[in-house]
Amino acid sequence: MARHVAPLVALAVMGCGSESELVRGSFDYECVADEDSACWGTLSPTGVPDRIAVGGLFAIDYKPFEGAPNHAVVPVSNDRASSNSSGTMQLVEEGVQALLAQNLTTKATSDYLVVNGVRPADLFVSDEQDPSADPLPSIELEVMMPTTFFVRPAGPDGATLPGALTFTWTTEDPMVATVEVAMGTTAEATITAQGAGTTNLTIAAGVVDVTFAVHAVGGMMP
Amino acid sequence: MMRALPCFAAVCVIATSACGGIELEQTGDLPIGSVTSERIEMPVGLAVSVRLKSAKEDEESALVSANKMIMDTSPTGNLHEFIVSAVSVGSTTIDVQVNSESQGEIEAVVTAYPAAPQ
Repeated sequence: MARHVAPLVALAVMGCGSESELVRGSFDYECVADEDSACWGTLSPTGVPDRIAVGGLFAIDYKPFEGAPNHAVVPVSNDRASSNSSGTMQLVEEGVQALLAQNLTTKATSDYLVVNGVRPADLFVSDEQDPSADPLPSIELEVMMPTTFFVRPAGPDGATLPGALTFTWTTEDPMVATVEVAMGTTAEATITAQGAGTTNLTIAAGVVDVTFAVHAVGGMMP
Repeated sequence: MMRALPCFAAVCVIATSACGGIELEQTGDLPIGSVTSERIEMPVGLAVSVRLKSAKEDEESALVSANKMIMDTSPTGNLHEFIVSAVSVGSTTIDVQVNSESQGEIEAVVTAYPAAPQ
């Protein structure tokens, strides 16, 4: 997927607060995959979220106020964050750390930014692709009526975290419900009740997972 | 008189900028750690901007780390301003240079990032 920057509303929901330390340019958050709920929306972007999911993929662009935008944004330490040649980054530890805006021509560091990695504590599932949508406490489905759901990570305080994680979806009893993950994003899946009954649906991302009871109504009991 | 000089010199090394040596000023936020003219200490992964106040406007300055794999330095393009980065846990020194002459060394310590409270 082509990168796109995070819409204002989505970032407002997640908390938009990290700013350039030397105020010589602007840092902008970029989503690198559709799993990143920071980019679920259509409005224009601004800033860098004040918290990012540990393990989530993201990118940050730097534009200096003066001169050509010829910078790479890289983490200070590979012990706490990783980055690849295309600029995709991942915080591997919780806590604050700095990202440097390095001028590719002069090799000087023009500016830096402090970001805060937060380990996801929960996964929220909703039937809307909206980072502020209320999480569903349970799932009820009509037999043979496919329904699409979306998942996003949340921190210990219940606030949605930006960053693209990879999710897996598993139903315990496929005779009751099957799950089909969307093409291009593991944050979206369609669940179809195959027969009346109840089964468990587990969604996982790294060390965090949630399990829902899926109640299927109508049709014949398997 | 000559015997007194080494003693005076020792006092001058122990004291701070009052002796006309290094005067380092922190110019950016550092959420954890500390910066003085004698020592920079911060957890791995953090960075801080500093300015060498003791260098004059018509002089060139540099901060040269003895071990960039522990603590690295980079000019910002602003006069006498540098970003010091904590790359990995350990201790080293940073040589403060003005017009390519060493003005002395700063202790540079990178600590492990503090564990989150349980």
